[in-house]
Amino acid sequence: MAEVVLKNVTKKFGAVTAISNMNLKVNSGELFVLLGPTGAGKTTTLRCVAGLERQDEGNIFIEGVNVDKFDPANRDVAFVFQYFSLYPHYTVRENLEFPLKPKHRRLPQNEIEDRVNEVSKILHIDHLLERKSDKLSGGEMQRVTIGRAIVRKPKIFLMDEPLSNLDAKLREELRAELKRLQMDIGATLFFVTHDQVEAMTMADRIAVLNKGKIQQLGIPFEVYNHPKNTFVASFVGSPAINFFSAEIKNSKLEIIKGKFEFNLVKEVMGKLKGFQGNLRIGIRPEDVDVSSKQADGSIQGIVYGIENMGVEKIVTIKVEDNIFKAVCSAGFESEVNAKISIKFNQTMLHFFNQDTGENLL
Amino acid sequence: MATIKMVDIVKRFGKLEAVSHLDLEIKDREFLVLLGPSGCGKTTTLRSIAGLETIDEGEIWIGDELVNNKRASDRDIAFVFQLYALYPHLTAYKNISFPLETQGMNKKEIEERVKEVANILKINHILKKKPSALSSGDMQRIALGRAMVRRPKAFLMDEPIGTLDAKFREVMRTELKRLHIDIGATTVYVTHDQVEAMSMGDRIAVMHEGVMQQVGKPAEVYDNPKNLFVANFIGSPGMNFLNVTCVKSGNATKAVLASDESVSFQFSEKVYAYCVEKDTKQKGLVLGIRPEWIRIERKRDSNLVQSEIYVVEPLGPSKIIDLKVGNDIIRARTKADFEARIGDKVWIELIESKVHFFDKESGQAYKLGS
Repeated sequence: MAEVVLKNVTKKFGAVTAISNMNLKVNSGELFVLLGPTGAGKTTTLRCVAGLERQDEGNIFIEGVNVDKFDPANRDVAFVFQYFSLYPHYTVRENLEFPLKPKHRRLPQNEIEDRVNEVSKILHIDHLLERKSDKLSGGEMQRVTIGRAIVRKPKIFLMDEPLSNLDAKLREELRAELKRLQMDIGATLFFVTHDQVEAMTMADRIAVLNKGKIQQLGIPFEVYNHPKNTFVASFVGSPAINFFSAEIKNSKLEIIKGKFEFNLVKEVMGKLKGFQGNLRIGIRPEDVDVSSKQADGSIQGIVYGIENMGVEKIVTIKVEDNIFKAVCSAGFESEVNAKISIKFNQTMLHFFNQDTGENLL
Repeated sequence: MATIKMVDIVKRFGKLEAVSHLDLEIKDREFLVLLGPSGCGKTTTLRSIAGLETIDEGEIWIGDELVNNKRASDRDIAFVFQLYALYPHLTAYKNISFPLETQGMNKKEIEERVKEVANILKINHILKKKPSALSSGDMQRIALGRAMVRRPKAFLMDEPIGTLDAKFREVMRTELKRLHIDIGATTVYVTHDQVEAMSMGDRIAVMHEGVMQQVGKPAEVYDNPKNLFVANFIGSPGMNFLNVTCVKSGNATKAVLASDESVSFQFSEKVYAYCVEKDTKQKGLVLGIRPEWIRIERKRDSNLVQSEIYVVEPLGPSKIIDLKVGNDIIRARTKADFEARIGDKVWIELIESKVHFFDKESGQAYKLGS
């Protein structure tokens, strides 16, 4: 099975611990995304798997084999980097043929041709085969780069931000194509990105990484709807989740002193029972309802800003010293400094420990 | 503050026409965003206003003054590069007063100017603090304060928040727009990011290959794009495009897909008549529809078009569903709880009132309805 396993992997650069005791398993045929900000340790992780870095502690297994002592060339994984690395004076065809040419592969010429034709069709570059690679657009170059990785038919792909250097439109197009391609060829894809949209849209599972540690590992739905801590909650989702400090008084939750008061359901109350620390409440912008009319259970705020995104509007609201965001329909009309009624969808509140950031439920 | 007016501007670099016969008027106190992909001429346009480039043809007016022959330093304009670049060892006050001190202004006048700016920006209470003790929003205010203190006629900004990470950019964008509302300074803001443009601009000017494509409010460029370029560039995911020909068979009026003639979308007689009128050479049209105006039904419906789910992209609050229709792939936006599996058959409708048509060759939009 084409799986990748990291067991207690630690990697240090001098005094800096880049990856700290990491455990994860990328399943065979899975599109697994490692997501995190710059410096989180994502690229280092991938480079350790490829054999371009050696971990200081722990073991790495590829297809069940411990590869700690293997050179990169013997790990049989295909690596695609952020920067296109093609031979500029070669045609697209020559670039695609190149990985198949080494003597030890001993592929007959007609087999090479078949593979190049097949890959170029999958990636929609079959009309470009005779073109020199320096005459290609960025998107075409990245397709060829991916093609060169696929043509060897490896079972495992490692990709390090392969879409980051492309413009927004192309990125959108290629992310769906890449996902579909991975499914169609049934390969294992270990994919690194700092872009949470890419992670959410592409991944079978996401591991959110920060400061060398995995914060949460799960399917996109879980990561978005049940973030394990405030880091994950705020890193995933755009516009970002809103946070408030809050208190529990006489089994009522009070968010923004003297404003929102909620009766907590028993189940939540039970879980929060005995919690002595400071409480931090998170609510996503789509779970904040705004209206120009006052309704039961709503509070008053002031419109701080309005952003028209076309498909929807983002309203920034000010209540006393709290500034937070709501997403509403494109048809919502209001103006800056106007009064506005706000309601929180109580069932969508997230409860965190203010000091540790941990999700309390 | 002042208006900025550009009349028939041309700027060449050797043989390359970077800006091509551009007309643009920026209103007093307006926040205008110049939007386009890299190489479209937006930064050259901005630098021309600032006087950092000399234009080859045309006129640039700031207020009621023709500034073609004025040096950059005499144009009374503040060019802001990065909004978070402050001197770390100086207090907020010193950061703001710095440009005046280098001019040799006397202390009392400097104090008055800084106070005036601090009042507008509501930063009186943090003037003694150093940047390291300030929030990102406050730092942005200080940086703007430093630009404002010279009392410029306008602000020019070139991707000022482009290098920040995504979360920080979100915060900065709201703060910057809010500041603009509070101080009401004429601002020209350059970006390649359509999200920034949509969220911040009073109006957006979309450029492509040196040519102005469309100028309008965010809702206008989003809902009524003038051509294929604008339609594709604004919105995420972008508008879907399908090559179609309009056909009448019996009583049915429909748009037939060029990629697979067995697939057709039914439209009203009115839309059909309109398409026939526009498509005089019968070369076909480009149909455009935004992802949020594609309705997906799970149950077979003979009035709708059958399609297959090709890719599912969950975004959190919503989902993007890539659909295979004929030999085309289009994207629809659904609610987060829409259950979709790859390979599922579904039936789709393009909401007729939200459909756009474009000329296949020129890419120009045809106006439907009114």
